[in-house]
Amino acid sequence: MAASSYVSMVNAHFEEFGNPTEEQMAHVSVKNHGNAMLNPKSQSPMEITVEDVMNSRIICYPFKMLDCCLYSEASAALILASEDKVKELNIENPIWITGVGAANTDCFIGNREDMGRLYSNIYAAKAAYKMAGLEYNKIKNQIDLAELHDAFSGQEVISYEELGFVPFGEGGSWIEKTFEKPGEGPWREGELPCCPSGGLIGCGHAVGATGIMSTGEAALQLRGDAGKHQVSIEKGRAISHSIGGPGAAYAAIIVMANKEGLK
Amino acid sequence: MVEKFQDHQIRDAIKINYKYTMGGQSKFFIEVMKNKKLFGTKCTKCGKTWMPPRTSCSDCYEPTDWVELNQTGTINVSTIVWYTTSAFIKAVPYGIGFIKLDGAETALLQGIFSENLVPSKIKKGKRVRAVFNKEREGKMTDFFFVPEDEYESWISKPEFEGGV
Repeated sequence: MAASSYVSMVNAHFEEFGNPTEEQMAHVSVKNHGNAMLNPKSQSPMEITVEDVMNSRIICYPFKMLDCCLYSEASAALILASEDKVKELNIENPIWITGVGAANTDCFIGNREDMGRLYSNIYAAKAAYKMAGLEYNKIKNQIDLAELHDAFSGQEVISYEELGFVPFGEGGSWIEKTFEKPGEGPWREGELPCCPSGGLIGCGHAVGATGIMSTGEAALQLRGDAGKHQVSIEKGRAISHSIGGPGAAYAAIIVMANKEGLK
Repeated sequence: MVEKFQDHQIRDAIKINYKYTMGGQSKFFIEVMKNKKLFGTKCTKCGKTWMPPRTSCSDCYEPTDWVELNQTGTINVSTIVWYTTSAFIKAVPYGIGFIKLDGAETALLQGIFSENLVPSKIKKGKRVRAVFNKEREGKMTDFFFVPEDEYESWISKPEFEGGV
């Protein structure tokens, strides 16, 4: 059911923008299963190739088994505190929430004029970046990493575009052309690592807990506590992203910063 | 010495009979079952035509009137399903898609069957027409869509028939 609602959006996006292709989506699966190899809490660590994804069992066209996350059960927790409390308790190295954005779109996909776009993503991103003093069109260069809602590989590619990392229609080529090339694309050592934890595809999707997990992962990264899957932190800012509800109508984005990122 | 407790288990099943109502949408299912007609609703204020029907307009919250819609429409987006629940497992692989019926302004999610099911056959913009099961129970599975050029061959099958 979830696969067929996401696939509707991905297919409609392909119709409109010619992207993502099946191979481009497969790159997301390779990246996130691969990132999960370094995360001891992940449930689906795998060293796989684009061919492995393409040859995996078809679920609903064009999603294959390895394009889909594993439905899981798990828990995640965040400890939130006010600025006053952080100072009062002398918390060392806190991560600050500097921007929050949430938006809804039509719950029923059949109501949407543009089925290939999740407007809730776009509005939530713009609101969160604005609150954090960041810019939608420059966000790729203003943050160190993004933990995205990659329940299905194709949706992560669309998120690159909707969250402002790359222009519409270029999400697929962003991940594909820069395949494992350091300094480019969303890979671990790329210009903007996306889902360095492995994301939902690599970690497993415990529905309801995953948004907390993604936010916690981004916080660990900003603190330098992510362990083996730690990415390079230079700007001191990260975002976490979660979507849900019927037809993934609800989107939420949190911008976080460490001490450096507040400057 | 106390004997270790061992419980004895029997495998059994509980069958539950139940009913549920389709509420304000009941007319849609009754018309499908009895008359092979597809009914949507039209907002009494803004005039938007909803399919699937809504008892109140989702845009302006005003009440709606029932309107009969055409049984032909255009595919907005589709996929081919290869993995599904037990109820549909025999039909795999089958198409599903969002279909905008002629005269409706929103799209209905429904099965799309084809004798030659390939993605290009049911892609965006393709024309489809509703085919009904001869045995109908007043459920969404009472009807499905087929490519317009396959309509005659589908309704010539003994288990299916065309709409009104």
